[in-house]
Amino acid sequence: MKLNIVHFKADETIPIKAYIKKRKLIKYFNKETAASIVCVAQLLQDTTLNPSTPFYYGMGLIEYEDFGLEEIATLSTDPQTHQFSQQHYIQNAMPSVSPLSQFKVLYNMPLSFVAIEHNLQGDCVVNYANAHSLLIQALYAPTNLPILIGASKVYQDGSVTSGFALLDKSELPSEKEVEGMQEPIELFYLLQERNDEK
Amino acid sequence: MKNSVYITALSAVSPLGESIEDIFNAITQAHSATNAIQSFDTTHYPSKVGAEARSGEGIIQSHHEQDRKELFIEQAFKHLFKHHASTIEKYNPKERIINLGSGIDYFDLVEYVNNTQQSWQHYCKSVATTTQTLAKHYAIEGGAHTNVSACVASTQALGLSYRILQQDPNKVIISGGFDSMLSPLHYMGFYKLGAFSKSDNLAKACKPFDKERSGLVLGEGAAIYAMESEANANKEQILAQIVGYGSSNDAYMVTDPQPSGEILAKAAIEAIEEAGITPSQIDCLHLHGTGTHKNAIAEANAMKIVFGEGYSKIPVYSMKGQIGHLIGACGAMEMLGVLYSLQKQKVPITVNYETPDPEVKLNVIKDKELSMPIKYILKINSAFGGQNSALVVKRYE
Repeated sequence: MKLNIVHFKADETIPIKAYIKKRKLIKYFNKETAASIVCVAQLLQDTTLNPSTPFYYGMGLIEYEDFGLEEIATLSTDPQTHQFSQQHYIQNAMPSVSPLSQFKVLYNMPLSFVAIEHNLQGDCVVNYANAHSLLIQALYAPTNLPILIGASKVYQDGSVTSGFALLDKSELPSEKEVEGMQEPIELFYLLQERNDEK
Repeated sequence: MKNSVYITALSAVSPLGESIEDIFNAITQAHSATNAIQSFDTTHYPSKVGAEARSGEGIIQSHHEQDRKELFIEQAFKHLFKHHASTIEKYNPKERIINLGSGIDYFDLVEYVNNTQQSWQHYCKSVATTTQTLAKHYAIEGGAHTNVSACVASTQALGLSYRILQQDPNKVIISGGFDSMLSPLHYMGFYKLGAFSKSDNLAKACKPFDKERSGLVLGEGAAIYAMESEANANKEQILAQIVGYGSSNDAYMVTDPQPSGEILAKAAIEAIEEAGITPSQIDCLHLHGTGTHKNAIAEANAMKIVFGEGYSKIPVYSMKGQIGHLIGACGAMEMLGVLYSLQKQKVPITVNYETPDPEVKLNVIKDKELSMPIKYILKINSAFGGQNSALVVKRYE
């Protein structure tokens, strides 16, 4: 099993440029995608995956946003009533929103950008906020190839953790071992503990 | 030896109504459910079209504090347990699983602006929490999974359920999807992507595969299915059998499908091979058919790879002309179209398909439903971001 976990503090710059071949994609990335790209690049620095490698990703519960919600809210407020105004929302707030922001909102973007960067064309799924869901997806993968699994979590303070592993099915934990886990990233702490024990 | 996997019960809340009889009648009648949005004020919006979920004669109304997709999935579960409780309750709670596809979390922008006392997280409703709450309420203890793979989320949820039951016959899985992007923030966020239909004719705004297609229309709703293995399914209740599933990723661009359709074809071929049949045994195609220019070309090219030159003869259907694009729930809702075809032995009309596109040489059914023997259907969905999924569904005889 190959495993990598990275963590970036809220005010830390994620060094994405050093880890991506297609730099023009960077403008689409939110923190979760950027951390995922860095984490996978470090994991696979000496490895080229079979394009059919299954790839399953667990997204952390949303606690942080960087697409400009605050600005949308401010510009949608009627200055007279201090209440939401449809007219202000459409005429003031929406023009301020970049079309690129939608790429920071859609949940399958980290998976899609990792797939593009590493040419992963096989079975691929994004599950949400549940370590068990990520595990189940990998356990029932119809393959004998190694599986790439990953998860990221952006915390409320803006810090982000990303974990990825390339492993065989036999190296996955059991369903019982993930009982009680919430966030998919916790699965990678368990894998790290196992690695450390070895 | 893998177990056979069956759909044995279903429930839906859709733009065509809430009862299966209403939904099937609407498919037969081929009337469009896309219209001016009524569930929130669109006075100043640059686009006003959507396919809203209906109950009886009217659109389901809701307050902005309510996540509509949560409302729909709760209603769908209520119906399922009202009419099919025995199907689920014959299993131990530990053997019951929820496996749903959905979209992005609901955010109540109106209340966030009006009430500045709370952080934004307070106004956010997580789809994963919705799934887990349903599991708790209905004593489903074998797992509560939420797939958020955009437009393939619910098709993939059905696919995973199929894989689990193939290996573990003693479970029942409630699988499908729920979604609604018909709220101020999500609707305009999607509008910003530039994929919306540009047509002023609201009933004809979504025109899958048509030469004059100009984009998609958002729909909403929930559709769920009880899935069981042959070991436990009541043969009298079997609606269809899932016999193959494939999934792939274009790894091409997040904004566009791969034009050649090569990787989409890969998912379809995997599903057909798993079904143990050849492409020539597929009777009709229920495609993704969003109404966007690029989707139609990619799907047509993919079908040419799968079926060879004969691809232009296979009858094709897309449900989105009628009900719009349900994003995280589209595959699950469109499975109703698959069941319709298997039960009625008909390929429905693709609503709003009028003018064939010389670039898209698919045999899209128009004017009149096509009656024909139908045993195997290939169901395809693709996602913004490049994910593809394919199911082969077989008539139960």
